[in-house]
Amino acid sequence: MTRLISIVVLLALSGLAALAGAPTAQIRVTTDKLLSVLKDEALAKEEKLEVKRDKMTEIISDHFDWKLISRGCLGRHWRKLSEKERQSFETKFKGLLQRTYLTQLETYFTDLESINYRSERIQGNYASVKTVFSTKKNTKHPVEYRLKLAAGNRWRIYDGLIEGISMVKNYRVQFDEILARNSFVYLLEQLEKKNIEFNP
Amino acid sequence: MNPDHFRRVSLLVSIVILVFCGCRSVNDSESVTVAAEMEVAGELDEFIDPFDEEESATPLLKVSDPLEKINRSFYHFNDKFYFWLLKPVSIAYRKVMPEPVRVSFNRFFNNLRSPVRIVNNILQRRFRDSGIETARLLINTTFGLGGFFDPAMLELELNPKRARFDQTLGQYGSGIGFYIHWPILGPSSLRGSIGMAVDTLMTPWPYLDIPIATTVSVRSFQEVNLTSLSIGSYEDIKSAALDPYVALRTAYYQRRTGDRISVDAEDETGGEESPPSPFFVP
Repeated sequence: MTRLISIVVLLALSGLAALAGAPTAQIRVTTDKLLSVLKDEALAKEEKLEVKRDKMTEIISDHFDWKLISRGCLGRHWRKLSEKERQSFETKFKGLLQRTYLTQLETYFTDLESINYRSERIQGNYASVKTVFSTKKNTKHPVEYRLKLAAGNRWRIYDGLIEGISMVKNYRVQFDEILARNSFVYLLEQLEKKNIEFNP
Repeated sequence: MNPDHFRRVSLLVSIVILVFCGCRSVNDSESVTVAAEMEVAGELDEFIDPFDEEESATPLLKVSDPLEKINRSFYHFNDKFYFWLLKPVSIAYRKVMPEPVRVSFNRFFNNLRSPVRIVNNILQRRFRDSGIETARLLINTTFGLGGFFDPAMLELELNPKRARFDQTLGQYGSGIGFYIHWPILGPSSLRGSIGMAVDTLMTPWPYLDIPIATTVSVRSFQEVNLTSLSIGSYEDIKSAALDPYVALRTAYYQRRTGDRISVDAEDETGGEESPPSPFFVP
């Protein structure tokens, strides 16, 4: 009987744990995957850079909610755009963000000492996961992930905050200022220019 | 185990499994439909982040920047200053100085700023933090050999917390004020500039009987040392931004509001003059 109870309790606990920690678990798994690619000796050489980046792009592409990011970054302008305009914005902006993200991962993960997963909060379909990055240079940076539940029980990132600085809100201000003085087409051109800068 | 017992056990186990599967699938389909409904309903609207604190919900778009023209020209000056002078010097310095030494120098300069944190913590009625800073000063100046090492943090887990006069003014209800992009010093605000001036009075520098040229060289060294630890941060901000000037300005205001939140939340771990953090990490 005791055995039975312990089995039931164990089952219950594992079920609860899986439900409660899903967003954190997902961040952790993805981060570990990225770190293993970055630390892979076979990919460390200069000529393997593209292979390495392709691998990392594959890992992160389903890790972000690109549509929600685009919507958040465009703020009040989102409403005024046609589906086609939104789509082309999303494609171009995704290109810029992925590229930025990868180069920064390369810069900062080499410095990384440890990631401390501090807390998780879930509100309906939204979650916030707070972590602290410790670097080898003896500094600590609070990093917060905001996630949204998507189909298939997957949590996708729609914003990242470093020391309280939200990436989405920073872009929102930039886009708003650009759109206050220029057309939407101009904004798309600027994004395209950025992408060419990265990917000549 | 008799057969009856076995049946009961298997029945129980299957009930448990059923209940769990049930929960799981109900949960799945429910959350997905809710998500789908929200998608359709909210697709047209501006996205409001449910985790936004009151502070950051105030529209950031209304940063007051009456000096934008001058600010932008100083920003361009700083940009050139960084790429033409500060960066090459810092890279050369980085080549000759091993990283642990540069980190130690950074700690030393941080230790000299302890009075700033002790006093501002008291002014902000964070007496515990003020005590921690005092303990850090005493421990690190003695056992940490003049502040070059940080046994207070590494051995005793006494972590530094950001405390500046700018923050103190904010706690007493002063607004951040308009944006000022100083030459060399970079992003600041009206309140931030007053804060910087007052904080400097709490460091040993103004009271040392040394020639101005020496102070300037020491401060330049401090700047090069700090930059050597964070080469690439500014480049990353610049390459990620569509308007780097606006990105830096916005980040400055975002961080000021963040300061207050993190002090309350007590999960602030950043020290004083730590190298700027990446702007967009995972």
